[in-house]
Amino acid sequence: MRMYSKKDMLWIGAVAALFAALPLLLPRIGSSIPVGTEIMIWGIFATGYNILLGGTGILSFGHAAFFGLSGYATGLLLVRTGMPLPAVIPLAVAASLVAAFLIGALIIRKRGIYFAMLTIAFGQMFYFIASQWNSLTGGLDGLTGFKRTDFLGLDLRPEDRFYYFVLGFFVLTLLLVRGLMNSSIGKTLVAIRENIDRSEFLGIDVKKYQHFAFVVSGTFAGMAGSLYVLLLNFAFPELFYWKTSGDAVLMSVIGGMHAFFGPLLGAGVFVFLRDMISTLTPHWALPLGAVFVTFVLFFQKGILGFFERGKNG
Amino acid sequence: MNRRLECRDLVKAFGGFRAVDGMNMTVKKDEIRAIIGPNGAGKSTMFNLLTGFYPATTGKILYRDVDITGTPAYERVKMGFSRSFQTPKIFPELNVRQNVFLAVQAYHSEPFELNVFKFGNLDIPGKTEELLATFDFTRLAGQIAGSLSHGDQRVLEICMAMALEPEVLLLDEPTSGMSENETQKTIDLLMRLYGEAPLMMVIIEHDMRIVKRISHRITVMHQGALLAEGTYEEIEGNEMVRKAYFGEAR
Repeated sequence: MRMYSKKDMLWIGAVAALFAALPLLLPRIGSSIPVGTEIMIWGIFATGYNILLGGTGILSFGHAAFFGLSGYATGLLLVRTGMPLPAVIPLAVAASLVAAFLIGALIIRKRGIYFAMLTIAFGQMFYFIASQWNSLTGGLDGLTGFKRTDFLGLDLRPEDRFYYFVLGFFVLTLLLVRGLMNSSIGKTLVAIRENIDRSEFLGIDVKKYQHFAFVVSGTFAGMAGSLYVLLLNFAFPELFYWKTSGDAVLMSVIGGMHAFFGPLLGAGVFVFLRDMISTLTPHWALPLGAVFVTFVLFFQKGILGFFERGKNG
Repeated sequence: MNRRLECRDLVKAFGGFRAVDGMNMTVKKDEIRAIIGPNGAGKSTMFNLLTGFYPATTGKILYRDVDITGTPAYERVKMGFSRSFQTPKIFPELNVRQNVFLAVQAYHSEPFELNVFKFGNLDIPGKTEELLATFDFTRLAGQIAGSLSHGDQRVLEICMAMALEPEVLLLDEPTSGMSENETQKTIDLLMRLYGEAPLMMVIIEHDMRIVKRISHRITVMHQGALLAEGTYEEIEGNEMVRKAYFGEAR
């Protein structure tokens, strides 16, 4: 039993190479390097989130809480303590991990729609704290007054440098999540997704594994949130808003939540479409919503799922 | 140690309805026990209590003289319990091999044990193939489990239950919905496995020919409680049972 198959390494290598070359391409098609950075950041969020949704079969609308928490922690640590980035990023991600552990412990016993509603409630709680606590968070105006500087002597201020910095986290995420899903733990999560009762009667402590998936996906959301705030040099309450969690769901559904690269593809399509459409109209959410509805109605297994079916059939 | 499964004054109430109402039963080591009774007698509820799928309202369940009334289902599995359901519960979108693999893996690994590089000295894929062969699934191993015939899904579930090498196997109507041929094959297989390695089996069954063939003793349930218990001959001659059960069945 190997951690990665040859095919895994080939695909992850190909995706890494594609993203390594993307900064050369993006400006030529009327886009920009930060769009690529953003695709990778949302790719980290969605790929991690899909451990929970596609992997374990749990719908959460609360992962924006972990995305935002780590984002604000990053901004606050930079503004208030002046700590260097190699300390700030791990601390911020750890904050998300702890929050996901605690919130997960409280709500993981609920099933289905009750669970999803509780995740919204917790996420919104963070949103209201961030938008009301003016003295700490800057309220609705958001948190400013910090700029990413260097990471162990590597100057991250230029957009292309930061792009490659994020690429490192991005490839790490792909390797970690693929490795996890290939492992016995990942297979157990899929068993739980497929049939909770059967899993329990195979002797699996279902709640513990669900909690684990919640925490791991929350931690990746935290990693993405920290990088996102560093990309923008700005943190704002909408990071916590339930729609941010909804975007991760959307990406997984568009790309295909039962395919490993599905959420990443969804993230790419989502960010790219939003970027393109928003230059034409401020109502970019409308056509994007139409895309979502189309997928739910006609391509329930997402883009990759659709092609896989074609291949097998 | 006394490998006995016992329940005392077991009650399960859903609101005001007592689906199991003061049930008493003791099953011995390596015994095959059939539970029979008319529809709604509380047989499946009884199974769900014994396996921990439902919590009991009152009463006690003991295994090996240990009170397991409050023990969660997955921990009872670790104690040696294994079961099938009336409607097969399998992993429908995975193929047959993956279904069995997951059962073997669950039995042979500790919680959160990371078996990424190897499975210790345990050959999980090998065990999986062995089980697939025993249950005649080698040919169907690559097929998606949800697309199997109803009968094959039932057999797959029994195969997964047996992968746990149980001490106590509870089968809820294992042959219902099977063709005559499939029924024969399944019962033959169960008896062969029992012959190789005896275990306690509790089986809910409607087909009296099967009950006669495989069970050592029979428990008859009626309206959530014990109506009679005994060998096939004793039950067959029991007047109350005739009235409550055989009377309508024949």
